[in-house]
Amino acid sequence: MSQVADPAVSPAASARTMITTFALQQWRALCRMRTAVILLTIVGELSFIAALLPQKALQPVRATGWVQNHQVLGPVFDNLGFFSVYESWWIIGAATLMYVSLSHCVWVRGRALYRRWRRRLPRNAQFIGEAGSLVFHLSFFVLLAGILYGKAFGFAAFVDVVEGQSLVEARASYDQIEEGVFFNPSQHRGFEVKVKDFRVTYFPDGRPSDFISHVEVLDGNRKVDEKRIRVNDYLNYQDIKFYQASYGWAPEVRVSAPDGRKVYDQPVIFFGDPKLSNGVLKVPSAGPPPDQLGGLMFMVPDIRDVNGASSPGSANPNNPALLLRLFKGDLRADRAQNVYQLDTSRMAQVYKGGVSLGETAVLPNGYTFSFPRLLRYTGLQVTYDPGLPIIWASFVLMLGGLIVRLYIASLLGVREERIRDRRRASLPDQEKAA
Amino acid sequence: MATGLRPVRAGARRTVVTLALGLLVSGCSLQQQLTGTNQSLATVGRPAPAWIGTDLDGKPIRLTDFRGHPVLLNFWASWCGPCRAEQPALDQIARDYAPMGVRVVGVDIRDNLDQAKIYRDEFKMPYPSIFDQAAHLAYAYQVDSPPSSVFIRSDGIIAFKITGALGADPYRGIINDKLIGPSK
Repeated sequence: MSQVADPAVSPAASARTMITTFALQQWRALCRMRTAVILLTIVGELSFIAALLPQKALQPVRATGWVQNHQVLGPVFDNLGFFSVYESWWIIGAATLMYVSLSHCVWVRGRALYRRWRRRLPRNAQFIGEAGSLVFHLSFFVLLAGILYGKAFGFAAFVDVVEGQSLVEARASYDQIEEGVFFNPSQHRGFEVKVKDFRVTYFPDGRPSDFISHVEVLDGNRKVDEKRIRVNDYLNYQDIKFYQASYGWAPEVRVSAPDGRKVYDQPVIFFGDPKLSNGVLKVPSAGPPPDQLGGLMFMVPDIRDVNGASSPGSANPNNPALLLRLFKGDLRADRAQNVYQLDTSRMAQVYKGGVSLGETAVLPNGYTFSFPRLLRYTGLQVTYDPGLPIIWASFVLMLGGLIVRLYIASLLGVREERIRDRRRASLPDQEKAA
Repeated sequence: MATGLRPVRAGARRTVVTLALGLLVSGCSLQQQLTGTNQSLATVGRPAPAWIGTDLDGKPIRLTDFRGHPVLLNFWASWCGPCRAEQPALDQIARDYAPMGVRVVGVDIRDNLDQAKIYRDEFKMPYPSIFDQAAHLAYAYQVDSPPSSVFIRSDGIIAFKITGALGADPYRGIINDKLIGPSK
């Protein structure tokens, strides 16, 4: 069938109509309940990913380590933005579209209810159900307000603390911190949290069954609290929450010069699999460049001899050993740098070996390398979120709105139906027919 | 999540979209990572918080020990690269200004005591350092990170605060201007 073009419609006008039609179709699709539920699911799943994977904003070293240790999935996840979920366009886009959809819904429902209320139409079960639905939808905006308020006026931080050491709740104490734009640094509380010890237990298959930071809170040099922080059992003091986030080995390492002078003596934070984790040694005090020492180390808590070769066993410290690749050269130690990464570009490897706990190895240049003590460290996530009461209020509204919409309105509807039935039954037959 | 579609005025639609976009985009920039220096001199012009502690050898040390002297309080840590970079300048400043009554006091934060001693001996630091592993003084003086310096006048008032490594000349300029100079 041939089509005849309407001479009254110009190509430009036709294109405009097509674009308008397409935009309207997309808008209608966005405003459907199904679309909003899909978007909500996407936002929820991305938040779940953010809870499972280390996020670069707070745990950059762990995020990088995860990518390095998972050579297939790591780069894929990294490219997808899974290590910066809350900064990714995925979540920003999904949440924006979800709230646009919700805004439209609230507008339509709110306006209809308002008109009904103004016209003094009967406040029946349908009206109450619609009001409940409106409250449910509005609660998402209260939730958003709570999240934004918490972000703007609170902070989130991360810190690794070796057993026996303390931190003061202050800016300078954290390895990473993100403060809200309206958070004043003087709002930090200044109390002290001392990590007395850290314990971890494992299932027979090697998975951790429990990990616990035993901490004391000191305020004004007075002990005010004591707590065993576990996953989902956090410390809360003065509205600052300390969550158990990670843990690892912190073997004490000592390096001495040929003249007996100590040039390195402290615990080293190790990252990665607790059966075989890696750490970095930087000894700038060994001498000026090119005599500085650096090392790439592996910590094996349960080293085993398998057919003459060393192999990592369990995550329990049954036979701890440190494996070391030692470098000599220029650490460029007078520059700001990541303390957990070693730049070997100006260094040369001078030694490869290992020591067991309590042993000392003599290095080729006359230095000694000792492993006197094995400690653990705990990774604590610290948050101050003043938006939490608003978020809780949003959950109450959400639940209340749902209960009204799904249950109370239905019950009222049934009751109204019964009353109508009774009235009908009590009327004379002619009136019923009318 | 509308169950039925009704025509919505373009103005209202625009408002809704703008509001939602605005809220979300603003939410993305509501937090900031601390990568720069602390520009808020919150404690400048106020009396320096009093402190008492121990130095790297366990000897007691307190602010009142330096009463009547201008004090340069320098926050450092053995793991801090910029601290190493500025250490020779600080050593020089401590020696040069000692005859003029200026005292340099280090505050070693977030460190290990043995490692701090190694650092001190390496640089032959000519001034004492208070050992503050938990960073109490960093909180009291509102310091972000090492290296940071707080300049305290002889009357105990904080005259200046700065974060980051400095050379000897900038240190001289600040001391001359803020601690012993005309604006004292």
